[in-house]
Amino acid sequence: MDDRMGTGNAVRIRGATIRYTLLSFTPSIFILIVIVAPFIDLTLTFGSLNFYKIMTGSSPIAMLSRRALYNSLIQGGVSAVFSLLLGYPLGVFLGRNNFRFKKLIVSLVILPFFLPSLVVVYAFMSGFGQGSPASILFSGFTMLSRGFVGIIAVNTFFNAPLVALYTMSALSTEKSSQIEAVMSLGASDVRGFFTVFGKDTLLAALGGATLAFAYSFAGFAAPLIIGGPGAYTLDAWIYFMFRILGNFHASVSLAIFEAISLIVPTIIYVRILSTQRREGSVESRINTAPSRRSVLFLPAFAYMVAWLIIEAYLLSSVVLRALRANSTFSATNFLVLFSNRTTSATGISALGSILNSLFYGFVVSIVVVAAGMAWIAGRKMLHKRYLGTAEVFHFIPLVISSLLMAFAILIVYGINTPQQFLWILIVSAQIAVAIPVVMRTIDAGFSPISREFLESSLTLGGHPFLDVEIPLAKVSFYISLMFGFAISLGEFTATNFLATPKFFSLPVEIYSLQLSRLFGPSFAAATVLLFLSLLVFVLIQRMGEKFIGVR
Amino acid sequence: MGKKYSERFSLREVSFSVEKGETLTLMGPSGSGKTSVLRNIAGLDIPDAGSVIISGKNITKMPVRKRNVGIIFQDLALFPHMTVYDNISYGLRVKGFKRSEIEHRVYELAKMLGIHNLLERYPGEISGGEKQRVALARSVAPAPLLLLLDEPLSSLDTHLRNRVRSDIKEFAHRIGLTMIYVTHDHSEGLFMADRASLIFNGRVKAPELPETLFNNPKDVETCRFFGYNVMHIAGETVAFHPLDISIDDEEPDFSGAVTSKGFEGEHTRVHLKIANTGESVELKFNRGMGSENIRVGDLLPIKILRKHYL
Repeated sequence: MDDRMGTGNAVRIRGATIRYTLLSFTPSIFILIVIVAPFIDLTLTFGSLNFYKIMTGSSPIAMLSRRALYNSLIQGGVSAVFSLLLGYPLGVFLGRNNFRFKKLIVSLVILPFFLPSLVVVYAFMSGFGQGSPASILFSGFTMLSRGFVGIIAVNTFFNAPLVALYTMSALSTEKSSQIEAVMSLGASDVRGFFTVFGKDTLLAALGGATLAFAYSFAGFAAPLIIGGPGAYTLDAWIYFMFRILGNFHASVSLAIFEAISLIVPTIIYVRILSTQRREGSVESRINTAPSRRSVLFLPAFAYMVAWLIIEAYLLSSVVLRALRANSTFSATNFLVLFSNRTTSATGISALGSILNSLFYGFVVSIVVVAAGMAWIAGRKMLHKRYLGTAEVFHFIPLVISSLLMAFAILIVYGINTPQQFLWILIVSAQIAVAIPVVMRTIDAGFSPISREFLESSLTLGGHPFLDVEIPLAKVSFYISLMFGFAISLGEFTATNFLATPKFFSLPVEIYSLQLSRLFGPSFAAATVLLFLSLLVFVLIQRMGEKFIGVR
Repeated sequence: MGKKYSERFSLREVSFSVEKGETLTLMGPSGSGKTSVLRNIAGLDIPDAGSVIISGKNITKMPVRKRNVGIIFQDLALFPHMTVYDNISYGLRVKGFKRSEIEHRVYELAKMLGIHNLLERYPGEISGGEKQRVALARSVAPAPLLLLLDEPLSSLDTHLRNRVRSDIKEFAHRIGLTMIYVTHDHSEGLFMADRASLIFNGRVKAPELPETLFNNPKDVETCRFFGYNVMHIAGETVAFHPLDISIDDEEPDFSGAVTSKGFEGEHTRVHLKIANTGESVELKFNRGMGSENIRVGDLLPIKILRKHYL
């Protein structure tokens, strides 16, 4: 009898363990189904193991593929270096100094990273293009609106705030006594800073720069819109080969090549991330601003102000360009944007694309946060703080770029998907893109909760997860919802690849308007997207600045 | 009970009992296993061998939440998102008490501990001493059969610590609380104890009355923990308390050169190095014993007033 009971218990426990494991693997299973399986299928069916031959030989495709790889490497490398050089000082300054309106200023400095890439491209086109105030002042500025230099500028403007954000994050640990110790031993401000914070901040900044490399290596919007074929990255070239040249096999081979190329930076990033993961008290992260100003304060402050001025100039130039029609300022472009002419040009009304974007954002945020909650709940039920290598799955969307993802999804699932359900593929791709950010944000809400809180609840007969963890980490859920929404709202690459006009999102609508040479309405649509993104960003910032997302 | 934590550390020979309404203190140096003992009793860790029995019931395998054993952690672990009232009432709420009962119990405890005017505040808005009282109220609100305290006063300054420990002791006696109190501070441990025990390297010694334990140390590690000097005199291992000495030119037990000296208020602390063995001993001279004339380098003849042969 006892034996049977024992066996019954063991079976029940094993069953529960399997259920909780599956629950905790929800995001990983999603990624497996939506990204990994289609990609493997694509590779095995069409790619063959000779994919690397796309890079060899003297055919025009091989030569242009080598050129695209070169472009990706150069744009990725140079953008990463510039992002590091510009972002690190900003991060150090903001992390080490307290001043009035600091929270607002930090928000403004990191804003570009949260904006849709398309909006940033449009900001450089309007801010430095022909006829812009900057180009009238100095004609050389037009270089920043096109070609290689323009792409690097866009990538740097987009990614330097990421480096700054990472650097700031590394400065928020409790080290004030160490700083005081090195100062008392006679170290200068700079020497003291690098002795205590040097390793942490540089490692964090390198983490940001590694992501900057990956994003720029697989850059799509900037090379496509302001680069031209000579500056195409691998992503842009794959898109061009598939959509324009119809060379399916070459596209698949190059896609596999690109995914393999991105493994190394992703591993570097994950390793850096793992060294920076913190646990302990929810109150352990404190501000370590020094009590007196360094001699470098003023130049650093001036640098930050210059950054903000450039940012304000670039973003306002999008709005001004949208308001400019026939050399006067009016709402004409907005009226045209919502007119029948625009609808017939792109196949969807502007309002329709906005509603699509809002719908995608809503679904993506709900699904991705639900997956995150399942992950956390399963992990808790298994009494594990981390699932180790299983969580590496969350970073796969960094290895397989949005374009490759969309490519694989379209080929494997798109054939059997009825047209009216195409939105499911779009939303799936956007969820996959959002997973690395949202999972990290949710985790940031849970990992600082100390074990003693949970054990106290347990000994008092309560439910630690429901009574302590959820209330303490609920802000991370709200922010994750916002991040999910923001990522969906700005996602261009995968959506552009998958969507037919009926399912265009706002960024795709913007691009389509540009292709139709409706530049004014295109800028008007970019302005709408800019304001929608700003609204979400403000909501995220109001909820909590410590939750750092990774786009 | 026993539990192996790693190749280098395990709890062994942990066997003791606590009477109802009694406070047993468990003292030992850092890393000796004090907290591990509490975690095994609370059910946060499960022993590999042996059992935990409360009121005749074997609770070794019982889930933590069903044991009715309270615990106060070193950092108190007050829930930062709950007010003081919500923290204290938490254990009652999860056990399904009626609202009126909860209010009555919380106000009664808060009044007894002098924190009734803090009930609407959050843990981040109250002082260290108030936090200790809130943690105590939260733990005793569900009327636990046993309360475990893991160095709960370690974050307080000496003055406040003395006051709070006195309050806890008085409160525990008033409500008949059964407690196991863990600390590395022997004066705090002795003060709190009805009976006291020591733990070294995962082994717990049999509990005794605090006076007996302190005044009649039986082995070298107990002596060292209580600050006794242990030295070899005439082939025997002798322990003596730094206060149990006098300067005696005629019949000294040993002599040594003064290596350092400092006035500490209640007494003067002197360190000696014994010439022939090289051993160091610490001495304390009460006021009026002429310690003001002692200089570094002096050779002091010392008589031990109370020797403990080990």
